[in-house]
Amino acid sequence: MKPGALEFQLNFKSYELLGLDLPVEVRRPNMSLVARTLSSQLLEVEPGDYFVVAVLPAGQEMSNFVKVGEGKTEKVILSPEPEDESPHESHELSHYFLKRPAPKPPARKEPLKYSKIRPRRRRGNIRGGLKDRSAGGEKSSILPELAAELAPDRVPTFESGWGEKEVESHGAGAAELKPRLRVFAGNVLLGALEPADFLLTSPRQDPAVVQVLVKGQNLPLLTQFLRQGARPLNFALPAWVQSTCSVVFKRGPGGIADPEVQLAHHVADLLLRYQEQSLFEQAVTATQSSAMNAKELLRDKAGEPIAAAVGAYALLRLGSLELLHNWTENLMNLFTWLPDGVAIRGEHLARLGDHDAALDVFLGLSSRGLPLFSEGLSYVTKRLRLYDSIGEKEFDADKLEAGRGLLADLQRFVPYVDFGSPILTYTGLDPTKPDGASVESYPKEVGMDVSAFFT
Amino acid sequence: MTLVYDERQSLQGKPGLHALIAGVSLYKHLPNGGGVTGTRGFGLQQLSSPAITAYKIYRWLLDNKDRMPLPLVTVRLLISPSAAELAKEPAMAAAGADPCSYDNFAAAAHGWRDDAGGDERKMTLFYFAGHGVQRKKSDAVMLMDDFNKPFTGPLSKAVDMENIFNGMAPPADTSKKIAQCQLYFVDACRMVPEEFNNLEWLNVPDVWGVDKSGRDDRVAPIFYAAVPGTEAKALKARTTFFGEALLQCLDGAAGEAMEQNAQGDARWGVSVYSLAKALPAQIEALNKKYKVAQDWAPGGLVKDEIICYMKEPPKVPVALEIDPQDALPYVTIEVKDYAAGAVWDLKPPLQPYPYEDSLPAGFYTFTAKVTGAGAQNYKDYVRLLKISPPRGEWKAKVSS
Repeated sequence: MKPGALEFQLNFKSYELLGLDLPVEVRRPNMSLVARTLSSQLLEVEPGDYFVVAVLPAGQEMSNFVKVGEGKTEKVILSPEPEDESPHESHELSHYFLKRPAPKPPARKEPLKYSKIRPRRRRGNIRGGLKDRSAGGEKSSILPELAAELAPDRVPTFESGWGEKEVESHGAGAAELKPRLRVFAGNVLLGALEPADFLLTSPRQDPAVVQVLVKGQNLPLLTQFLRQGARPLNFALPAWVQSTCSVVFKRGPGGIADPEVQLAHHVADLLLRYQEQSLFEQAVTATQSSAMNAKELLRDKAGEPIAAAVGAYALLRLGSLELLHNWTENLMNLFTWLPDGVAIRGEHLARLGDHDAALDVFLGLSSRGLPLFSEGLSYVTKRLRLYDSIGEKEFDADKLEAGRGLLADLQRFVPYVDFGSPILTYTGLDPTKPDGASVESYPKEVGMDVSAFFT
Repeated sequence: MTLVYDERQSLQGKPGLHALIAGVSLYKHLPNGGGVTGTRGFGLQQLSSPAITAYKIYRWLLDNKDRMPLPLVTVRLLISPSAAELAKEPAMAAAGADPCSYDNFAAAAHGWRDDAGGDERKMTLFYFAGHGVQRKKSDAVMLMDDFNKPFTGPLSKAVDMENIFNGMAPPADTSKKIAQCQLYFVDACRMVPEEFNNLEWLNVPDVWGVDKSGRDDRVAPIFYAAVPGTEAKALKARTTFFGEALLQCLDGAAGEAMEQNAQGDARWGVSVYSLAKALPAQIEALNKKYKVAQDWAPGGLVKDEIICYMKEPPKVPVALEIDPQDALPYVTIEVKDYAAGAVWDLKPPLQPYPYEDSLPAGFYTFTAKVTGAGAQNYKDYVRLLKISPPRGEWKAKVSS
């Protein structure tokens, strides 16, 4: 019998998504798996009935049934269900890619305190619960009625880690400050940060979703989101001189949510989001997209280093060492400003069992700065801890000592990093001195007024 | 005795599955633990769900050993149960498990690793439930039942998950082999106690010394019950939420059809990736039911591998609704499977409403057929649907 074929067409509104190389799954009527492939590929199949589905990172499914005749090529049109559609063409990327729940801005119950910074209230329970010392009780978080049994929060206060001079003080009863966004450039590990607000572009006003484009530089960049009464959030910005990234704000019933960062390279962003949502089957398929081909991404210095880093991280995480070849070495050597090149190359060498070379490579991180992706920070800290525990019987003493110094630098950040977020995100008013304190006041004029983005 | 299941003799070195399962509810040196209470308990209290959960995981393995991709060869079980758990599950006392003290755990871990060695086709499973803490946000420290023993260091009776994971890496000496498929489940909190902020880095004793590893391309996912900085949750004397969700997934909620076999039938199974996809939905359902905020996080090396096969497609809860509801007296629901076999024929009015039942996972044709006087405002509605875990929902839109 002559085989037929399936070709796929995505039915989105925006040109970015129409051209997306989306993982699709093809099944027979008995549900057995025929193939996992990409929407750009033609799939040869035996004549018969097929079910085709594509899952988007935010959870929407696009599916269709198709009958393939002998020697025929059938086009499968995949469209979002009407109730899943993006409300606006310009919002499609964030609508279909970003799933993280939009947290409500913290409600402030007390008057502002002069220059006081306090950690976010945190439940003090560890399975069974921390003893509720404030109440002198022996409460447990074990259910039933778990909520009622949670120990009350303890909220120690302490002063800002960043010079008090730089924090504008408003005193009790001061006017509410608007949320603001600002950008820094430089190496956080060396404490060498410069304001770089000029890299932000003014977005057009929108009632629901706003994207602020950030122009890149060949330097690590981070953006800080300031909201009165909340912990300042610092996000690494995966952009460089030839590629932007965007900071996405959504406004819901609770107000403006914490922003998220999206990459300019949509397939790399897709790959990142699939992993964030634990959709690993889709992530594996996405790594096979021609848009993620290492040779193209790292062709020369005009390549796509951010997307290449995302691809390399995915292959490391998904255990596909055999696909990395010299990907990691080229990434590290061609883009010497990119911290992730070091984290990725070092982890790759470690996985190959060349731990001395891995340590050498990791030591280069100090001069580049914090990785832009949390996976990178995790790799480096775990490896350096391991090498320290193995000790001098296996490693050069001087290098080990340098590794301890680097580890100590990185460990300052680790407690404040949101490892659930693929793009490095941590708290602290002074990005070089992370902490868990919320901020009651900040300069009125820094960066951009985020509330002004919304009509 | 820790080795509660041992088929090494009968399997004579054939590749198989080696499990290390531990659960601590009774902490001897925390308040009401029966021992002398130490001074560095970080405010932790007794638990009443990890031991029974570990026991249920062990029972699940025994009851489903013929579904595993490799024969079950050994199970090492360590449990320190609370009185409430023993009352609820008296068989636990007769399981032959030793208490999960640090020394017992370390000895069991060494035996487990020895059994996992020698052949990379072997498979391991690790499950720990109990108190857990973090020193920094990227680690996971598991507390054994003698944690907080007087005159010992704060975390001297604790185990660092990283040490376990690194010690199971393939050795640099390529003549030495170890199981390439290693599944880890850590059902413990990952909070940083406030006291840690006032202490220097707290050392945790190594269960084993770790040397430089060789090429590490293990299948070695770690399923953590909590994301860094959060807690794991449980019902008193019942399975932990994570354990409950995990067992539901292994029993079918994470079931997925794989490639068809030579006979043309779909084979069903739970894999690392299908488990990672299904766990959030199961946990979310428990969160809604109990109004809690249990989370989870994947770690380790997330490569796909079959965890267990299924004998048949999983049963999926399905809910049916008629839109608009006024059409209820006129709508007959017919559901046929892909082979056109009728599975449901529901006469009007649909009762109970919304209608809920379950179907084996698969493709079905759902038909809402409108009949009877007064039905002229409505029309038939037909859809071909994929019904797959965790739940199927269908709304028959019969408005004309």
